[in-house]
Amino acid sequence: MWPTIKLGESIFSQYAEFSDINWENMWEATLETLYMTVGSVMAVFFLGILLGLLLFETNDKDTPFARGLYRLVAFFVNVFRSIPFIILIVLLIPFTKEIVGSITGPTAGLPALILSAAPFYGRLVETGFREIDKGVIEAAEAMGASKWQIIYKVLIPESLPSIVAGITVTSISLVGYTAMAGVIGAGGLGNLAYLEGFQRSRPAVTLVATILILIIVFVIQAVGDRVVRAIDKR
Amino acid sequence: MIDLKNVTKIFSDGKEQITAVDDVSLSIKEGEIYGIIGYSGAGKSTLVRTLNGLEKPSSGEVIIDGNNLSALKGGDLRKERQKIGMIFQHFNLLWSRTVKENIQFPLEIAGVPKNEQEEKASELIQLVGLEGREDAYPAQLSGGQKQRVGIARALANDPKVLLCDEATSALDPQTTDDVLDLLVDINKRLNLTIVIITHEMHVIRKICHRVAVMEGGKVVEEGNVLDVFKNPQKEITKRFIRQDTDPDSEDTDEILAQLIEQYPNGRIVHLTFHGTGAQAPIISTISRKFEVDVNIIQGSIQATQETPIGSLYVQLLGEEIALQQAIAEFNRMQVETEVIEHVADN
Repeated sequence: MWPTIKLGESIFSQYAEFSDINWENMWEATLETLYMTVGSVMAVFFLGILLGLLLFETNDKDTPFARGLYRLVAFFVNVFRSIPFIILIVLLIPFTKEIVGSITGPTAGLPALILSAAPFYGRLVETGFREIDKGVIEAAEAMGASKWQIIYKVLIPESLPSIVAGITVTSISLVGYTAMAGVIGAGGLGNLAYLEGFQRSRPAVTLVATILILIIVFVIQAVGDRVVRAIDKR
Repeated sequence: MIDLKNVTKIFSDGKEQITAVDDVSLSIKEGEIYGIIGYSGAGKSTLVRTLNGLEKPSSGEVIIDGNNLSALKGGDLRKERQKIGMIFQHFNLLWSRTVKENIQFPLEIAGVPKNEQEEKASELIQLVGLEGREDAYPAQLSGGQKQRVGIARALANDPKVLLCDEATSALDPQTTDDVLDLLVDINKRLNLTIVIITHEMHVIRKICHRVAVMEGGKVVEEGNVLDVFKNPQKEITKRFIRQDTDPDSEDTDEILAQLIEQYPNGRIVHLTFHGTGAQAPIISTISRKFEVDVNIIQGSIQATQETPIGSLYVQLLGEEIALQQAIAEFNRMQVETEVIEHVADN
């Protein structure tokens, strides 16, 4: 029985080596993770709504232009949604270098994060728009609403709970993606856990980084749920 | 106010072509409540959608208040639509907006200044009797209240015409009557032209001045509601009227069939009374005068916009000559008669 207990003790003590932790680095990494998350979520939010509108408006239309556009957008969305993130990030290195000027640091993580999440979110937004009763849109048309008025007075307000719930889910996967991006050199808690925790065998660093990421995720979920509850009057 | 000239609407999905509206011409006067009745698939919903350009006719013209709607496009069409209110079977309110904000919605679309929107909305809330519910969300309202919001919303831009697409079909009978009363009230107060689409004859009877019966995309019968009730021409019209005057028509039919079998010498007659005829003691007079026995099988009386209208199924027994005289006497007293010789199988 002794060796087991000893083993348990030694595992536990490795995780408890808090003296290994450089709290300044930890704080910096947290800020980098937050920067990447907030930056990509904002871009994904706007791009996703745009994509969702494009998909919604061009779906079921008869004109060849709309049909072509729908196919193009749907293809683009499906491809980017299907590429594993870690591969996408490597694949995009030349592109990132061109527009960011560097392939390391939190800003360099943004293009891959945005390109991977925006199509996914666009689909969620489109689904939200489709859940709106066609009769409500028809009623707005019958009142003489223009396309633009229908978008910002009917489609977006009526699907807002889906839009918010969708961005909550997307934000949470983006937090996960930032950790992966970190391994490639984008910084953040994932980077710290990899470089310090794994490569220098300091499990305590990994443990704290994990807890911090969990806190970020829980806060996003709680805020998202609360907002959805407040705006959903159905 | 509304003129439809040879309106046809053909839908095609690739290979198949469906004629939803087939060469319909109608003329609806200002201040009139005009009903269009038909079973589902008769084309009535498509027809009413041509009245505000939600559907473009494949051929023919839709003229509203002198404007040829079928020729309008884009911004001009949208401007014109603001002058045509519409209410729906499922209300189609925005759940994200309160009662007041829903009523203001068409005013926002029309670009009315905010303070005028508020004023108009509270005026309309009063008109439809929703005081105190201004800040409720649709999810908190009953069906009847939701339709009242729908009506207030449709009236916000002071329309010339109100289109009602099965507006009472999702409501219970009591609420239906309340909403119909409100429509009559609005029609009288604002001299608003109202077009009602329905599959329920009692809606037509209760509030419409004129009616068109649609079947297979065509208008098969048209006229004053009273005339159509008194003297329906087409089989489908008779069926609609029967559904209203005799809801248990299957029971009646069964009894009629039995009576015809048992008394081959008697006559089963469907009498339709209206106006003063409904008030005179016609049955007993005729019974005494011609020595016929009268057996009352089923009867009902209903109100129309103009005058009450009664329906009575009777069996007349007596000498052949007396029966003929009795029927002639009914006709002379302006009671419509229809001798039923056999009952159609349902």
